[in-house]
Amino acid sequence: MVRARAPVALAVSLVTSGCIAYHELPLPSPTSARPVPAALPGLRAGFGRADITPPPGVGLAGNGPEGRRAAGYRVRLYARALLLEDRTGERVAFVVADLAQVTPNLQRLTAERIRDSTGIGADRLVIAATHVHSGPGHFYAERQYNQSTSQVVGYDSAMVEFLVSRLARAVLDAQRDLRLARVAWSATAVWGHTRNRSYQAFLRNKPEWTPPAPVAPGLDATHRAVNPLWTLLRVDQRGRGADSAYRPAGALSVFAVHGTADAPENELLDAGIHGIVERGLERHVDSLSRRGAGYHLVANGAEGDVSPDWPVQSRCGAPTLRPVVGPGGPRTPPPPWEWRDPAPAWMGLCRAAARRYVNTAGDSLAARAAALFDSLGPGLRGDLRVGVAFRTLRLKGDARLCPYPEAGSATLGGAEDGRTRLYDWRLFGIFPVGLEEGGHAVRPNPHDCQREKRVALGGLQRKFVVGEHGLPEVAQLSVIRLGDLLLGVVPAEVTTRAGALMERAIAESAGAAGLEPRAVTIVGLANGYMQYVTTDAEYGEQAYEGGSTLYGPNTAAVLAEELGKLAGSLARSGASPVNPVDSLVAYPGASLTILPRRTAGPPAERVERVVLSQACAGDTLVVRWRDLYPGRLVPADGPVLRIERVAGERWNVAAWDGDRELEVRAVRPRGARGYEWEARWHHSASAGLFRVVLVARPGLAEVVGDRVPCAVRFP
Amino acid sequence: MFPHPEMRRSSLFVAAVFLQALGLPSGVHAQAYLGLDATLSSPYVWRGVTRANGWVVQPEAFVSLKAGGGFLSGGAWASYELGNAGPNDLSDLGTGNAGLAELNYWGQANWSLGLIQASLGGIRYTFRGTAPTAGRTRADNTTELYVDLRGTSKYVVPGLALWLDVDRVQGAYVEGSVTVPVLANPLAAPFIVLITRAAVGYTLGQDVNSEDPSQGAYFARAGVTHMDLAVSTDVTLRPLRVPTVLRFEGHVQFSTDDATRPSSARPSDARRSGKLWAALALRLSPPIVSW
Repeated sequence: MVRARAPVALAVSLVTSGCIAYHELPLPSPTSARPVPAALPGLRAGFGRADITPPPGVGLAGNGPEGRRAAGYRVRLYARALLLEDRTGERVAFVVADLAQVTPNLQRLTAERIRDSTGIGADRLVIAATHVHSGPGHFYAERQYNQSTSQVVGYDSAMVEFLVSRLARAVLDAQRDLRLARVAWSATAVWGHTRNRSYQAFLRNKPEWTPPAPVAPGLDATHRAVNPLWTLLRVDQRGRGADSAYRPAGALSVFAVHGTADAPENELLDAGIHGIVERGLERHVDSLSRRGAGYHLVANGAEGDVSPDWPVQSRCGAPTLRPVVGPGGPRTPPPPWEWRDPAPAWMGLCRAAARRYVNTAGDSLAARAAALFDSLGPGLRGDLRVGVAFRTLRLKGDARLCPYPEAGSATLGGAEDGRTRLYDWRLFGIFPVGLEEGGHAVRPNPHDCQREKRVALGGLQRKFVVGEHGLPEVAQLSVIRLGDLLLGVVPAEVTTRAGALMERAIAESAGAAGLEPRAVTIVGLANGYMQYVTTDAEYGEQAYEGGSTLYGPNTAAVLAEELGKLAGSLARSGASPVNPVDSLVAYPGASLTILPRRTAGPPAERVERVVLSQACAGDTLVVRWRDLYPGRLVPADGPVLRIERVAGERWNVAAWDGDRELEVRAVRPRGARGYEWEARWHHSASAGLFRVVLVARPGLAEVVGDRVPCAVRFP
Repeated sequence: MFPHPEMRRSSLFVAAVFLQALGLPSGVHAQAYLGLDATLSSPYVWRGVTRANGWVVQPEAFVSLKAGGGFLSGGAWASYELGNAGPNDLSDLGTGNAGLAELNYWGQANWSLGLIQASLGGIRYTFRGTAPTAGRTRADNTTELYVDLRGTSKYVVPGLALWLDVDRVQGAYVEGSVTVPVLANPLAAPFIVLITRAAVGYTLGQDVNSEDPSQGAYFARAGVTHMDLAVSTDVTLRPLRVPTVLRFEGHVQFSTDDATRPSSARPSDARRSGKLWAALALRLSPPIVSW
């Protein structure tokens, strides 16, 4: 018996002593400076942008165990900032980052960096995520998220510094860009691009859903069960110096849609649909203003149960556990079973289908955003009033909520957008264990605070997997006034109906205090992350979203109540109430080396950067070259390469890295000679002579490849 | 000539370090593999028959060539009985002996055919015992050809193996099995998988030939020999450069043939209908040549 107990005791001691290490990190609590009216009376606005594309090698966060290690990048990731200041000096800064989530540590540390220069503390800084599932992880304030958001496990303080420095840079650039501005906002219904992925849970709500806009004809029930409103704030800036004209500068959009259009099997850092929409409107703004860069921040709304309308062929299927053929013989211990991906050819097809969808849906949504942007021209005004109400809600210990956070078994199987390898797993292939949505994920005899939720691993989850501080314990909430538009800012993925509940609470409280907003919109995934929030009725279904509502069925009501209080205080203050910034602590786990470091491989002076090969295969130009190791080569530092096409005697730029048709991958180390990289550019629309130009970077001269003929291949 | 236990441990350690040094970077597409594994088992049960009821260590070395979607492999496997067998013990070497009891040489081709995995090969069994009335001697040396098929479905993996003795025993042994994975961790290293397996043995001529009692036999009569229920866990040690797997397996056996019933040489253990046994194996198979 002693021998039998020994391994168990060892496992338990490992779990309790080694794995659940909190590494408590107190976070700063910077509070905003008191508003001071600017010398120039009137609304001022400024934009900024920072590239946040890390080097390959990091985990792609958002798809849990199916999140791959990034092999390279496609559409670059950015953090875009908009700073607004009204005539009374009331300020607010919005940052939207191409990340899966934003955490309190990113928000607080960024606020600390910008506080002295901008007067903006944590209470007036909104950092929201587009929720793209192909951005990096490893920055979470909660240990459990660093352990489970991708196949690459762990927290890396260098990733936090990488992101915070760039988020702060975007805001500081916006501060430098502050100019007199005129703004207008409106909302339009965009039907047909989104659908409700948890329709059975949605149907449980009473009364039935009344869409906030007339429904487009021909839509089925799941496509009607969403909030289709695209809210867009257009900003025109006055020129500098003698240029006193107001011209289009950028926009802040809010639209509810998951960032899950890319297949979960995607292996590239990529801004996804949101990136295409951001760039689409930015190009439109460029064409209107002719002042250079336009800016488009696309924040997410109440998207908890809202999927992009991805085609079924864009999902490859999760790996399955199978025996493998390996080296050995009849008396060799058999090779271990492995999680095996579907066939490579199938993976290629579904990834390509997902990319086609991302591009076409992104273009379509960008066109809708551009039309909305244009329609706002006649209504631009410079008298927008800004106000912010902010508080930090302690979730753990709030008597209205469950005493501690717990994930349901439905969470482990993943949502419809990206089923995990555990989905529908059955003991001996027969007995269900709750790794599904609804069904056995629902506890037959609801009896405690978590009610219908079958807690994953039962009591073991809290004791041995998550630990005391492994999941979020606070929620930073804001209500922001932009004229007669109120934004409810929540650190969660709230479902359509939960979002509507919160919007109504905000509107009613504000109205009772004398402020009648024309619209209220939820901005989700901002200033923190507490997973999902469903309505009480939806929670009973225990779909993925209900299983991921960590603090139980009353969470939506509590958040609605708190947002209502904030809206009331905002309305009563006439500007911004006093917003205390409470102290916070992060518990991210031990810091590991995951983000490739700037010391990786030989330094630039020892690397001979050279084009190794160039060839056209069908509609794809494939270039291989030797360069620095990932870490010394950081895409966020600047352009890496461009593709040029000859026109007469001139070479014109056909594509930069970061273009949606250009994929860059880190292929393999070449020892002391450098690292081999590959670029694949799909040039289906053009034929001719091409060449690659490796852009000059510090310590590295420009390298120009030989010319390569490429023809268009028609099917 | 059995090596000192300390020497054996240090040899294994040196071999492990050597294999680590040979390990190629994981990104390389390897074509030839050097395999080294060792199993520690007690008792040593083969086809339901308890061959030795003490501790046995079974090292193996092989070379595999990856060809197409499969492997061509050849190797040698040995069984060492670690303790001197007593009068009430079962042993291939006989009472009072310890050391090398069995040496096998084998060759195999295995490959994947979509949802089916197939192995085809031959194995030469040689024995080192010297006690003609207990255990196995050179007179028991023999050769078998075999084919092993198994499916690769998500939950239930059926398997069927046929072993045909073409030398001394002149008969076949069939084993049908069903393997079901119970759980596997999806994310963090070390990768752990827990698997259950049920197997049934059936003899088609490897039992006593009443017309020719001098012909070799492993079982008392034709038909089902035993049923084995096993639980095994594989732990893949990813931090090591060489693919390394630690495997633990426990077995419950229900015996139906008189040859599979004894769990020791005691008369009281001769008619057991069930027995338990366990084994611990370490497997390293680094790629050594690639092109």
